[in-house]
Amino acid sequence: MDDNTHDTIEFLIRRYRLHERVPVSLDSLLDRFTVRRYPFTPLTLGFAVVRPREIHIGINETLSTAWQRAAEGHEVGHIIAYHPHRLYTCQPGEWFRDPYEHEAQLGAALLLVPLSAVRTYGDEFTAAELATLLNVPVGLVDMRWSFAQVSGEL
Amino acid sequence: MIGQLVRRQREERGLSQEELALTAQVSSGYLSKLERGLAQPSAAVLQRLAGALAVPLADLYTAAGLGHLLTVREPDLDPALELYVHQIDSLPQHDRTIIIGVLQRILADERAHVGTTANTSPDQGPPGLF
Repeated sequence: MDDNTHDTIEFLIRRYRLHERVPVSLDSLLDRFTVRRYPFTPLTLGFAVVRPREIHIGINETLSTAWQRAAEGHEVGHIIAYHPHRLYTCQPGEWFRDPYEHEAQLGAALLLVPLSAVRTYGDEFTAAELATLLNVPVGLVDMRWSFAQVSGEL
Repeated sequence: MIGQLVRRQREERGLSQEELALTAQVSSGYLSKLERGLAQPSAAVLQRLAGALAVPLADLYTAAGLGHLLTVREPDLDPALELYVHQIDSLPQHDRTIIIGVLQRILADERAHVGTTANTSPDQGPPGLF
């Protein structure tokens, strides 16, 4: 992940005290955007479009709550990282293949999975248990844990 | 036809069935059947194959007899949307329609405020984002 993006995410977590409670609420960030639910097919988790007067985030309303939260975090991740496109679409598994999608998904993991929770992984909770506590997909917990390992946080 | 196209594209790239299957997140057995015309891929599988082979999704859709699912450019599409539409080419038509509707509404709102956005460009987000 780009250092600037990581620093921005850390700043936002501190500024809005995002990790003081779990499950993490992104409402203080999402309040700046227009966020709507849409009946997408399973092939689209969400999208975000950045325009001068509005940043619009659309989330697939047919997803589970955990996946909707992950999709919100993902789109916010794109916006924070100032990725070059002005329209972002989130499709399942794209973050395994596309570097911008991977960075956005990592942004979601950093926002929604506190490091303090990751530190309990293995000793107190399994990844699945953490995912339930945090109301996120288990893949997001894994992603956050992997990042913590690679970055030296753990 | 889709099987032949996938096999040809795979061989041109020097990929084994196992390598392509791994990248496209399908089983080798399924890929083998697909290439032999014994399996009809879903839209999701076509999307992953297009990504793994780096070929236009539309080509695979057409070869698979699913060309009717491809969206011909919507008539009278606002030229301002052309910037975005190619980015959602790989989405199902149902999802494209939703997103294009949102984009059209946003553009209509912007036009209603022409003159007040003179100092911002389409490539900039709202000031003071965070």
